Amino acid sequence: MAEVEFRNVSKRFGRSPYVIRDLSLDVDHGEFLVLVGPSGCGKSTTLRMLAGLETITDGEVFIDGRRVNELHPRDRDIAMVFQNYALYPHMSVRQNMALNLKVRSVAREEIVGRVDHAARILGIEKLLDRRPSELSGGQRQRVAVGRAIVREPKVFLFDEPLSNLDAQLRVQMRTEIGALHARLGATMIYVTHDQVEAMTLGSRIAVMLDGTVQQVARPLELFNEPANMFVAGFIGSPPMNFVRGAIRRDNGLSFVSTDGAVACGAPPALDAYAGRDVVLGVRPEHLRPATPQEGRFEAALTRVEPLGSELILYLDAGVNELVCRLPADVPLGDSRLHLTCAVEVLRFFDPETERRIS
Amino acid sequence: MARFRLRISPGRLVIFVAATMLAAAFAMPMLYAVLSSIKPLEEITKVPLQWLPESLDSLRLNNFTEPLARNDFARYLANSMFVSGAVTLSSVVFCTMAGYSLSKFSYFGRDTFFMLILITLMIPLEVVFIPMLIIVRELGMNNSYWGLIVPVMITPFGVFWMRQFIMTIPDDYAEAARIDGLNEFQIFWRIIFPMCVPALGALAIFTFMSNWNSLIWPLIVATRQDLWTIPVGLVAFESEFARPLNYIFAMAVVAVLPTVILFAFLRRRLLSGIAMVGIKG
Repeated sequence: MAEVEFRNVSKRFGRSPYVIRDLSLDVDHGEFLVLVGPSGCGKSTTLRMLAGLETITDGEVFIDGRRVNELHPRDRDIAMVFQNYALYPHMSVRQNMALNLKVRSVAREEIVGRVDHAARILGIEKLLDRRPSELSGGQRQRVAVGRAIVREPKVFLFDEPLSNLDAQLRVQMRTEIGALHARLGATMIYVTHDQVEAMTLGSRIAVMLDGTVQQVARPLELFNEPANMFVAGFIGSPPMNFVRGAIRRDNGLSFVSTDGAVACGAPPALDAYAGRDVVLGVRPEHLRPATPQEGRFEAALTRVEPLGSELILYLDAGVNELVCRLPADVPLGDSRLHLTCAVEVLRFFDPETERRIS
Repeated sequence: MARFRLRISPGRLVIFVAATMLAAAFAMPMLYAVLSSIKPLEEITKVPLQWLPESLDSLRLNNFTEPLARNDFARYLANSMFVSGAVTLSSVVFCTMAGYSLSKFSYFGRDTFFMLILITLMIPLEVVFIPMLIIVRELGMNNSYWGLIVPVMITPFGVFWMRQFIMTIPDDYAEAARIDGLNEFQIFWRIIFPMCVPALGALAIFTFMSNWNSLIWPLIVATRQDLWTIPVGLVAFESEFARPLNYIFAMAVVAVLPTVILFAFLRRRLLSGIAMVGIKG
């Protein structure tokens, strides 16, 4: 177990623009930190800088209090699981798992013991004499994780390890990696673009965009209290609805969209924003059909996706396209719905800075 | 009774017929050489040309034994085997090293250097023979096995071939090995080199065949008879004994045997290697 610290780290390739800008991040002992973000946001580069596979242009990286900027990957005491597993195809599973220990001249009995122990943890004892080409995707994934476990590193690094698996296997492996973290209690840093993986695995999640960390928080905090519109839109599926409009003070505070088609209450905390433009953020699961007594707005139903236990509704409210998630048993009358939502679940953002107004 | 119908499109039929004719055109001289290698000289030079020996009595197996025993052909065979084997081995190692460097490392002038290598691919070897010979002489390697081997132990084609193949190997393998603690040479030797086997097989066959059949370079660099290779021996044989065609055919058959055997055993690997470099490169 170890702490990891990125201190004002920046990275650029040659003279091209910076891909990581002034990144500062702390990972605690035994923490499972997930770096999540869209393609090209710099999450893999961040991980590779920690691994020593990319040089650091500016700033410092520490593992367990030791500056590792100039340290060779083999001397950083880390293990990495790659997206394509990177199992050496000409070696057996046992040889793949044992290579690091052999290179470090670990005693033969200890190598056998550690490989067998890792194989038992992952349930791959029977695969030890096979070649990677004789394994399924899930088995290769396990072997790649096993190769990391055998090293007993200070930090485990995962670079989108589940991306090449089918949906069902991905769910299963996700659970196994979570269980592995609970069992080993090791510091793990995990890169993914899949927000479901991030939410289910991470003790904390760092959301990245354009080489900067947008927010670092626990999964539910990220979901409920997003720092800005990017985080609010990236975390949650379907994503949060955004409606441009303004805060009005008539009989109490209310929000009205620019075209007047969406209207709802606004919390008293937004009093200072009365008369100013804001962006309303409302999650699909927070929109619901309104009773005649409630304040409500009308929307035209354009498409319904039945997912078994729930319905995903696509609606037009004026120029605003909204998505609404409802239980499957909610009766849908005609093609026009009256919708409402509770004031306390609404989030408001500054249209210029895109930061959340708290 | 079940009726079978052969389904073949007219286009495929044309290709099949054309390929068969082409194969026959290539096979016929070979077949003639094999049949002539067991005939007496009088039957070979007879007009009109005849393919088969006239009778079993006229079969001459001493066409093979005599040159091997009397004219040092066994020595030429051993020389060819040693030189081709050494060149093939070194070519496989050094071309892979160069290909690895040119495909996986970034350094100043790398692409220019590769372009230069590509340009040398366009220059026929005959054009550089004289300067090569001068260099070899200056280094004191003429009339030695070194002179036969060293100048051809790495070829631009081999470097190009291996670079194209290694480019298709994801960087993750080398990076995983780096994290596993291997140094750069160990990464090459223990990880990358074994992964190149499909392309190496094809390169080895190409290199062995071209060196086995090589005539001009061994002819000019080694004038000492004990260094002659099979092609040189065959050429010298002709002038020495006023066209003993029966012996020449027999030795030509002996000369092609190793490459035919090699090709027969490694045909699949050769074709898959060509396909891999072709598709992924």
